[in-house]
Amino acid sequence: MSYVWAGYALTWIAMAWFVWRLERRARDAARRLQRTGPGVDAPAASPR
Amino acid sequence: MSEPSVSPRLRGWHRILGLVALVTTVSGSVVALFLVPPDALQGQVERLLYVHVPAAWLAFLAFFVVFVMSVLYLIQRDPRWDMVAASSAEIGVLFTALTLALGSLWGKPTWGVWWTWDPRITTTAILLVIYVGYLAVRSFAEDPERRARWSAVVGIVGFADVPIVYLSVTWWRSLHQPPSSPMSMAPAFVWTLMLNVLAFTLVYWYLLLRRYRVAVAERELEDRAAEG
Repeated sequence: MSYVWAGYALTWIAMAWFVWRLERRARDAARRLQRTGPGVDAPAASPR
Repeated sequence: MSEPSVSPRLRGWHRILGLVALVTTVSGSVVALFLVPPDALQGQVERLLYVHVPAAWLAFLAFFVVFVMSVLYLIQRDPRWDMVAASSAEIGVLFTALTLALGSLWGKPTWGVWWTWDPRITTTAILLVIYVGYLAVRSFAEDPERRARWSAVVGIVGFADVPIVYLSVTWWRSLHQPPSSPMSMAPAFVWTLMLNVLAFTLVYWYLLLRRYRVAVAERELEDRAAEG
């Protein structure tokens, strides 16, 4: 059963890591967009 | 289309989709880990197939979207298609790597090895290399139009490996089992698998929308840098 737990843990960690990385990229892009000027469609700019 | 944008309505749908994807994925894992009985032959390790198969399905779906968006980009030269293709390719790479890792975790207790140069596994590894190459092409080309054109070509040509991966178990002598059908599986196994396939499909669309929003913002920054 340890292989099974490892597989499911890996799956959830992989998905969570991808979402975390996207969130970081979105925040970084939103910050840079705000710095460069108005009229911006900033993604995921609101704090969670 | 001169400036890509994401509507507030799309963002609203995105949040709902994220919640539904999370609930379905948690449900799928709970059913697969605790509710469905173990397989008579494989025992507990068979539970890995409820994430291995959906991960492989998701990777195929992601690369199909890359293929379609790449064709559309070459026809219409609309940057939105390129951004969707790039977003889908990243997700496809993640889930192809996950498919191989989960297969390896299943292979060790079942076949006694972590890795073997089996046709299905080898062609899947090639698939991973192709789409890592796709992402590398994107990172090398600085001009957005050239980057989109080059990567669209890789996205179209690279997709040829997907049917090869799928048919490899029937074309060549393979350790990997051939595709199962609902007729050859117990209903509890079929429903659990279907639930997890649905969950992973929802996860895919959620991640794609989220990644697309990042692509829109990054493209906007790139355009501003080019102008300024």
